[in-house]
Amino acid sequence: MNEYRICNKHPELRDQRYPGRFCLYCGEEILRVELRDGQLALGEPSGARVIRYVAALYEGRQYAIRDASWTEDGTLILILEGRTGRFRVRTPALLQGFQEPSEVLSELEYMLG
Amino acid sequence: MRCSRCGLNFQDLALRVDTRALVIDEKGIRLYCPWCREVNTLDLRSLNMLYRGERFYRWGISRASSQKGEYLVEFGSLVLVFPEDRVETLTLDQMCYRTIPIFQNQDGSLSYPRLPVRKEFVEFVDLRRTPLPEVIIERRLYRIELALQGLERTERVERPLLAFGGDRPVLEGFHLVLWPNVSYNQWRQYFVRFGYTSDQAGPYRIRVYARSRRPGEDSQPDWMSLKKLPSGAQVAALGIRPDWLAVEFESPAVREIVGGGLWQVEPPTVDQYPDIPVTLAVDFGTSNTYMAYCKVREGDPVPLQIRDCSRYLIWGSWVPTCLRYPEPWLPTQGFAPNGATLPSEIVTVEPLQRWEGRPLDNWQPVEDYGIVGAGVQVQYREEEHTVAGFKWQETLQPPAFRASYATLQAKYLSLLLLVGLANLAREERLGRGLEVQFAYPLAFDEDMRSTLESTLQKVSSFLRNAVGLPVRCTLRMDETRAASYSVGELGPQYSAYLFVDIGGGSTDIALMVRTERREVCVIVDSIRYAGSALVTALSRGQCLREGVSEAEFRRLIREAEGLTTLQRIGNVFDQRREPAIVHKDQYFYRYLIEYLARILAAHIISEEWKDFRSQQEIDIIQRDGYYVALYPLGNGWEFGSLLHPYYVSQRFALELQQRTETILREVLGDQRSNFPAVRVVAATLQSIHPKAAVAHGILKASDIRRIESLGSPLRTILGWTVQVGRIRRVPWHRETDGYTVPQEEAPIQPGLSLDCPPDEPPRFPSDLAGPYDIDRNLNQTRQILNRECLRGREWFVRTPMQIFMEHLFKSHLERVV
Repeated sequence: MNEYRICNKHPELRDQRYPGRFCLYCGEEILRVELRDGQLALGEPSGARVIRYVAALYEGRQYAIRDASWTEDGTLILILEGRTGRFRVRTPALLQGFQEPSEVLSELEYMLG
Repeated sequence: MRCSRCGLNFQDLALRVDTRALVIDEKGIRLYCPWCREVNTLDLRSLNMLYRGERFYRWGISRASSQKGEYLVEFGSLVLVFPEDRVETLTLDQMCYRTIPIFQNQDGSLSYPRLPVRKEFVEFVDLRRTPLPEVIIERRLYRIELALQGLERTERVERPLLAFGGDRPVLEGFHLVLWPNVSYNQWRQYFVRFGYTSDQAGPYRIRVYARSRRPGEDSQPDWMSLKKLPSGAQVAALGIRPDWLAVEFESPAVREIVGGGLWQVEPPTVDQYPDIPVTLAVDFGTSNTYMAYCKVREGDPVPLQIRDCSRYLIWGSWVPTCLRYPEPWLPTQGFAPNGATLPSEIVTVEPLQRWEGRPLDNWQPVEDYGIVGAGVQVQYREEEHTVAGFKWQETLQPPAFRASYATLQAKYLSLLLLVGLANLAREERLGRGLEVQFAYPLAFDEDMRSTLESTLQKVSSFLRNAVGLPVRCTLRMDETRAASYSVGELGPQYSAYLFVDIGGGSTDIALMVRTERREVCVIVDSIRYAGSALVTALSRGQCLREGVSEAEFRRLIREAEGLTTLQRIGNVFDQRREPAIVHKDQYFYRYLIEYLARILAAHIISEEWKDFRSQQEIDIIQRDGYYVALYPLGNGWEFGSLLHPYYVSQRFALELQQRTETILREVLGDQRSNFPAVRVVAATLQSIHPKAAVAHGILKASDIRRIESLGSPLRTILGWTVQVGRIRRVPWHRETDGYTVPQEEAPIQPGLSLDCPPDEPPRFPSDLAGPYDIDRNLNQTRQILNRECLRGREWFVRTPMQIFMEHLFKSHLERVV
């Protein structure tokens, strides 16, 4: 069982491997996803510490991520090096990527248009 | 449980969460989504747990363990940690009521609870596996095999019946009612009533609850207590169908619940409304409102007979029909004609005085106000609880509520149509494709029409929420035109129809010329001179027995189905005042005759009767006479029965004909023989009641002959010669449609004063008090003429004769003795 540190107000979960951006208890933003060296890095908002790196995997092949942005409902939109178009990562897949030991985002959906 | 916004499954979160740091209420635990921040509520019932009064109750064997004072519940990968000292395992004694009430139905059967379980714990029960209970009266025992969620075995529960001191352990005279008894899943607005006629409640205080959502709230089903009314009955308006009703008996001595049970309301069985294209037509009258419907493009209009749509879960008594308190349930019966009429009145539970100056928007039907249907005896002080006349702002009673007349219209029409739609559902005529169409009196000005239109939008919105159908209420046409559509074919000798619809607040008049090829409305007129004027005159003129208020008089007229019946019963009219009653009645109709005779005479004098006709037709009319069929529409004709059993045909039509002839002779003199004789014959309405004409006409409008009009919706004559400024006189027979200046006339310049000279023909009948008899020198009325007739336009918007009828003759009826 993992224990995570969530936010200053809710210190009862003290592990650093919390799989999300917002505190489950109060909704405060506690971690941020940034693009580093072609991978997504989940880390402290200050940027001081990265907790976990996640790579993008599409059709069995790993790609460097060129750009990442969020939609309002928490979906991540990726642009990959060497691939045209945009790819969508829904939150259940994000959770899987940042929580599972494999550390890859594998459920990328190619977006038409 | 998935996030309602992004779909993340919380059960996939490999986390241990301390519930002490979370917001928890009876609906569940609040969790923020780690990825989209949406607030989600984890329903504790999915964990076989409930949260009540700061404590957690659990049952069954959940995926849980206990360690170091913590109670751990696994929810997928998520582990929820509860403080062990606040988690309690339920016992059957905690879950169930101590004793069970059993009620006697009127047909000899018994009504007893589906479950003996306290309302807080109904979630624990697996109803599909719980068979119906058994009651053994001899042993005074209630027995059920209770299946609980998460537990395979069932638990036998035996409870004694609630004792209340009688010989048999059953309670008599109680009712628990749900309205309406419909099975559509999308129908949302329901009402519940619990009451009794006996005093068998004995020492207990009874509380009734419904599990439902509150109207307008998008929340989990919740228990709400019914509102207690002055009589002791309890009611609730529910925004969604309840699934359970709880009846609890509390002992005031020990202040605890000693018995109770849960009655189930079965879920609706029909998922979707059928595709039925039905039009509902509403004649929203000043005193009464009538509804009829028909299938689009098919069949004749059918009166929407109002019947009882209640479903009795406990039927030891009916909902009372003798009201000692103003607590109207939904109408179970409509008034004549056809049981499709309801009074245009609102009855408030609280005295009206308490609502003065307070907003009425939050009024809930049944809880705060209602409509009293037929078959109800009223014993409370009606005038303290009745709002009437809200079709018009200036006739609303009591006057303190006139500023809220649009709100009152919306409240009334919402409830009326809800009753109507429930009755349509009962007839299996409610479905997608429903349209509700209204007509409006021609006397409505633009503002009034726009107010009613905006009221109808609110009503549509209420109905959309209440019944889950895209109901659209629209103003289809004017009432006069609507009534004209309801009439059947005439015999060949008639040259014109004269429709006179005497309603409660307005009399609508239409004169339709009939030729071989065309039917053209040449007069469309509306005056606020109608049945309620006579009701008020009789009431304020001391013609009623002591103690009979105006509100009661109106209700008795509806109940009696005929004024002669009311007269015969002898408990309404003051017999000593009979001459005054007859005089007022005669005066009422004679003023109307004067109004109509001038219209008919003008029609002849202006030679308008020749328009649209061939020379051959003109010659025949000239030879045989101009036959006018008089159609008496509306409830206002009912008063004529006090004067003669066949008043319209034997008296009114004849007097109208005679008065028209007198005017023609006076005005035409030697030329009279050059014009046709006028013959007025009262037509009988075939298979239609006078009150039904407007609603049926709306429905027939699409499938019957096309009636032409002369442009503007309103067209009449001045009725009295008008002096404009110092020199100009506009003759009494000149037409007006409110907009167009007639060819023979020049526009009236602004600033010129108007007057009605007394000596102009046609002279007012000498035995009928005229304008100059009622208002000496016309001192007060002249101001009204100058204010109302032109309203800044170049031609007449209102006519002097309309002003006389509405301002002078109507109020004079009160003084006639």
